[in-house]
Amino acid sequence: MTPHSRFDRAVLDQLERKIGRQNLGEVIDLFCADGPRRLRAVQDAQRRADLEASAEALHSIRGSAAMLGLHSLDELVSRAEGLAGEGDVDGVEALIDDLEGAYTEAVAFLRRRREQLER
Amino acid sequence: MERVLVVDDSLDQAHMIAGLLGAASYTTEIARSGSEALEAIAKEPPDLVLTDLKMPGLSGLDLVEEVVRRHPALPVVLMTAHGSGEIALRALQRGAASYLPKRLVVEELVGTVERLLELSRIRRSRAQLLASLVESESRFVLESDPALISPLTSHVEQMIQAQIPTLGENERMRLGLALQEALLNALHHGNLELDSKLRETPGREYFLLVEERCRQNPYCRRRVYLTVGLARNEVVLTVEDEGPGFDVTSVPDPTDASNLLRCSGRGLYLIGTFMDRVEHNAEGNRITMVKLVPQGKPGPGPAVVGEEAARNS
Repeated sequence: MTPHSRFDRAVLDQLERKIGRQNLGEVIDLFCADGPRRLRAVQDAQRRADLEASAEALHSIRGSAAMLGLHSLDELVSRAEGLAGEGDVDGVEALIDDLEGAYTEAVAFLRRRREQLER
Repeated sequence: MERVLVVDDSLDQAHMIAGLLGAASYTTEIARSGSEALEAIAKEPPDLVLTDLKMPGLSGLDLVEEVVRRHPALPVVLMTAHGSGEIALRALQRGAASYLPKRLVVEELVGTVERLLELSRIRRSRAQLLASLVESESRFVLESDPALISPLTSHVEQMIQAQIPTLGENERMRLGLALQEALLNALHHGNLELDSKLRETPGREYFLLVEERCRQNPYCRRRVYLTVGLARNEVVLTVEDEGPGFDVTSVPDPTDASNLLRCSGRGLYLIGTFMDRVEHNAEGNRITMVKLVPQGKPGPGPAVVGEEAARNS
């Protein structure tokens, strides 16, 4: 992995070795299935300017991103969470599009991995 | 098979953690919130709790505190996406056994759990062993260094806690205070021959003299001897110094509360109040303090007599 890699494939390789193909497939499915709900939770919280709820929803995404080696998503969510903690509603709002993009990319990456697991 | 309770409101993360632990032959149970975790622990305590930091309702830090309060022997590990030392410190201060950033979970989770469960097993065996110990005697020899007194007192309190768990926390603390006073008396007034009346005069003269005599012959060569005798029904602490002794008939009356306000003799007053029996030898350089242990919660273990002699010279 280089410092600028968006995804750390080695994390998923290690995870596959440790928990097995089937379990990794299930983890990926859970992450992908829960994605829209988590993003909606961030957007809803932003609409209400409820920074605490924003931070909570962002934190939940960040935990999964950190454990699955999804670095760009992890870093972006970390920035947004920091801004939410500082009370910067507009700052978080400005990152929402990037966040959606990074999430979509992460899901696509994980789905490709999921397909490889099927082979 | 050892059981780990995983507390995480995020299903994918909980599933991943359960997968990692399952692959290492641990049984896992998942709780989706702090309150669900407390219910699960009350129903059947696991061998270890692994909790996320941020959850709706009870936070991971609050859960750590609550589990430590209700089940002090149950190790709790806090995990969080935050990798900050500040949160790790707060978790450890609240009683967490360890802390794991989520980015290290895949690599380090199983190793961390293994180490903590091993420690837990050792602690349980030690507690069982100490419950079988009916009598012990430890001896310490202290140099003229006031800095050794607090750590020694704390160590003796831990020995008492481990070997005589029936003695309550308050009584143990009073016993520790009495021991500290006796050790200070032995060092300051016994070995360093400082007059306690000096403490009643304003200024730092008394403490400067302590420092000076700790480096000066013959005072600095003298030692304080402590013997700790622990049995199920009593704690016997004997403190002896190598000074010239004192007039034991001048011991303050433990029934006169005005003695508590004086600098000189206050230590002996506290000792007399906190202990059940106090005796001095004729020379006045040895004090024996006895605390009786209430026998409310009996349960004699196997008749094994152990002896531990520790020397610190």
